[in-house]
Amino acid sequence: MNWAFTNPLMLAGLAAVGLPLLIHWLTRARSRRIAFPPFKFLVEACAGQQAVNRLRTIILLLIRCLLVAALALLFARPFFKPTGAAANVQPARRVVVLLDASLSMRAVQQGVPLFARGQAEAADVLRALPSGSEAAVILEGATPRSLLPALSENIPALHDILVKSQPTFENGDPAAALTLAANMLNGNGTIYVFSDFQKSNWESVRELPGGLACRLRPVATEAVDNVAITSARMVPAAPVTGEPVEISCTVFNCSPKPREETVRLELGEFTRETRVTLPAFGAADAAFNIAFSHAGSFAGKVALAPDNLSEDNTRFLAVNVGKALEIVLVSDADESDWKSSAYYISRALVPSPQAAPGINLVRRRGQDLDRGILETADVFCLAAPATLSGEAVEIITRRVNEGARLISFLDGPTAPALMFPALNPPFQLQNTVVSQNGDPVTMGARKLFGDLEAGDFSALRFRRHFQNHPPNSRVGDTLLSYPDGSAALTISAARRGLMVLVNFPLTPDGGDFIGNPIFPATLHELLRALRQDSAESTVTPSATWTLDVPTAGEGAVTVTDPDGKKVEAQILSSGRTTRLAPPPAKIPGIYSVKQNDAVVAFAVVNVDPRESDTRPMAVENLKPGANSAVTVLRGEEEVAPGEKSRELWPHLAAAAVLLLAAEMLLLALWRSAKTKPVEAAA
Amino acid sequence: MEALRGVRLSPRGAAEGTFAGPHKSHFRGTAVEFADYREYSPGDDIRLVDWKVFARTDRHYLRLYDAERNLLTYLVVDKSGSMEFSGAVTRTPPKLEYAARLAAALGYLVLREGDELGLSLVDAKLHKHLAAAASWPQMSRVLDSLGNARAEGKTDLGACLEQVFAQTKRRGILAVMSDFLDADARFWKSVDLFRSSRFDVMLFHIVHPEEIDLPAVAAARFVETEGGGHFNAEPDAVRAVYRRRFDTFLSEIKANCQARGCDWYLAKTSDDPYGFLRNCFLARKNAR
Repeated sequence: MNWAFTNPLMLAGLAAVGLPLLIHWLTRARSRRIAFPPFKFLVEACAGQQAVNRLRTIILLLIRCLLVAALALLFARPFFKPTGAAANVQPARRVVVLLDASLSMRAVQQGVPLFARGQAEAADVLRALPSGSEAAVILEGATPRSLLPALSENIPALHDILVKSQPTFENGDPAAALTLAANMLNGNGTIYVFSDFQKSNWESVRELPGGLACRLRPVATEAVDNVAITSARMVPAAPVTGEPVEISCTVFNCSPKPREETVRLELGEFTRETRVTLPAFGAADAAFNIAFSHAGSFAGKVALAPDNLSEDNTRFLAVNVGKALEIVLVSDADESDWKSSAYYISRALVPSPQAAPGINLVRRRGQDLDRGILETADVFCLAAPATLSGEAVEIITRRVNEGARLISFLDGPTAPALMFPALNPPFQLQNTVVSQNGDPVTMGARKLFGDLEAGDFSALRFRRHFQNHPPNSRVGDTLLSYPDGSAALTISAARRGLMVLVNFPLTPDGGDFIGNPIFPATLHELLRALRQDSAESTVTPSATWTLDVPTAGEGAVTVTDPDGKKVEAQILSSGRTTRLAPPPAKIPGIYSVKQNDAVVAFAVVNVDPRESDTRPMAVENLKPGANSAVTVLRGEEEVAPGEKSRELWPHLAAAAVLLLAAEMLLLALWRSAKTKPVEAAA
Repeated sequence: MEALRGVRLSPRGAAEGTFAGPHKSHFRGTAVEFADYREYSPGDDIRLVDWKVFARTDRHYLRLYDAERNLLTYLVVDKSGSMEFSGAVTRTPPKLEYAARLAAALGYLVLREGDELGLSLVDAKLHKHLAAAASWPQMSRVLDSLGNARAEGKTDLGACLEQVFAQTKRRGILAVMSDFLDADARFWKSVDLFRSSRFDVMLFHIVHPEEIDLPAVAAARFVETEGGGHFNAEPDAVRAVYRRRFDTFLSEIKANCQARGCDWYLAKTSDDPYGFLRNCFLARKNAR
């Protein structure tokens, strides 16, 4: 056996052994020279006592020095390493240690994080390797990361890097990590896997690498009970001032018992709490209703009380509250032309400023559209007749792909030009069909108007429409359709945005639709439905992401992470909106974007909800690869059998405690002995 | 000195002064108090013959009267190095100065009664010896000697007292002012010399309060005053033990004095010397 240290740098603490001596020397009472006539009596009476005092001081100083030395050694974590004949005769090995560093490994079980447990056992494996062995360590996260680029014989260096490594906030990808390990070993060697074998990750592993020995070590003794917030949504996602906003989150209970939890919302000026009852291994939603009193960017979170895995108990939110919904209505008809569809659309949307305080409607001709309006509008309403420039089409297409909404009213000769092929519409317009008596419409596969009766539409008749044939794959987009199968009203997704195609006649001669109260109701329902989508921002740690932030002027834009550290973000484009490409986020939380030291936007990064399901899979069910030997290591002693090094820190900790107790006991004892005679004399 | 008004130093035994004085003596003289008869011998003063007795008995008898003599007081002041101590924290006059004040006051009382006063300054040897005299110029000499005394050198009080004894012709009062730190067997033997000659011995033990209870300092390097030794100590830690030892020392001195019929007075330098002297004489008077 010989000595080794897990944290050898801590041995520098041994330099502090002299600290008690230094403190004693600095704080000792300064002796004063006194010529004393009864000197001989003093010497006769006190020489023995003085010797005892000196002995006591030496003993105390010795104990304190030993205490400091024990603490320094304790932090250096010494261990005895086997070096006997048994160790020397073993042949060199090729080993890859795969340590799960995903978020779920941050779970604490019996007071110890799973990652720390796996890390310690992985270190044991490295320490027990015979000389001449080659090894590598792979940290399994969203992307597997090898601590050294290839197998290395420098085991001590690898060991040092391993013990300093930290778990990530990422989702694990064991399949990729195993593939990397197999590539590094190239068909010869052993893979040690230290993981919680979380079902949500490991189910994707269809087969263990072939031709290799795999030793699987589940570091969790049993499933870790966990409660997490797996998502948080806001409806509408981009609210305006005074508008009711519903914030809801899904709470998942990954434990075999029903639970009741308190969910706390902290967002801007709002702090709310609500209770939620969770079934065993089930989820429930918690909702909060708020209304923002002023416009601006706000960031906050919904959170649960900490538990075994507290990192997934918080879900971060960021919202930009606008002053009003910006709608640009594009039509070439005169505003006073009461026969044009735009006339009725504008009045249906905004009968008066008081009737629709949250909507700011701007009407423009196709040729009058400027870039400013197009870049800031939330909803584009295109009503024939309208002729758009190529640049306008390009901007609208991009904006819709980025999240804006588009409503195209397809009535009139220029209607085909209002369907942008780049947005992949669900149908193509064919010829116009005219019906003197009018055609009814029927409800399609998709239900939009939940609170409206289908009969409300069934009574209406439409005298013309564009014939079209949506493919079966897009049937789901259809809300209303004509008897000939043509779609009358569709809603389709266009990347992050939505597109509505309205194939209705919107002039008085086209039917009784625009004269019916259902017309303005339909438009407002459409607006509401278009803004219902509040898909949560799914930026997770390690994912590449971009940020679109409103900026003004030439001031530098900076991004700071949740810890307040500056993040170097590449500027992809600039203008009214600056697009930034920060590096993949390492930690979840709220990232602030500032320009001229003023916050212009917030972005949030949340952990992957798959990591919250801490249920493990049965390791025995992992399918071994061809010519591979799979061993499941159940006991700590099986990790490095017969080669296990012996940790000395428990002994050192006990020694430190004993020394401290001895010091305090002796001090109390001697002080009381010192004061008693004086009191008696007094 | 106001405290000493009305205080009078009287010997416990008979005075043997050179001159007539207020103190009773063993000599026969011409005082008024009748003492005895004695048969006439040739050469006796014929004026002392009691003629009435001659008429009755036809024999010559002399009528004898007591003689009254003055008192001889010998002051011995220790001027060794240890008498220089004036305290480390609690400052008082040095022990030598205190002893000098006591000696001066005592001398004044002696001369005021017309008694004879002698002075010896001692350390390891007898340094200054003023033979007993009963005049006010003697007071000036005593004061000069005390004023010029410097505390230095080692102590050998026993040897010095032997020398003083050798220079005394008649018995009287011996007043020794010292810290008696070297009160060894020889010292007590010399005291016995004086006592066997029927001297009235008074020991004034001069101590500083810090010698009784150690200075109030956290740590000190104690240095020997009449040698080169030193000793580091924390007074708080050893005060109780030291105090017991010093009390034993004082008890030994006191016991030796009582065994020899000497008067022992413990004087602290923080006390008023004249008040202390007055209390000593009152105690002496009451004990008589």
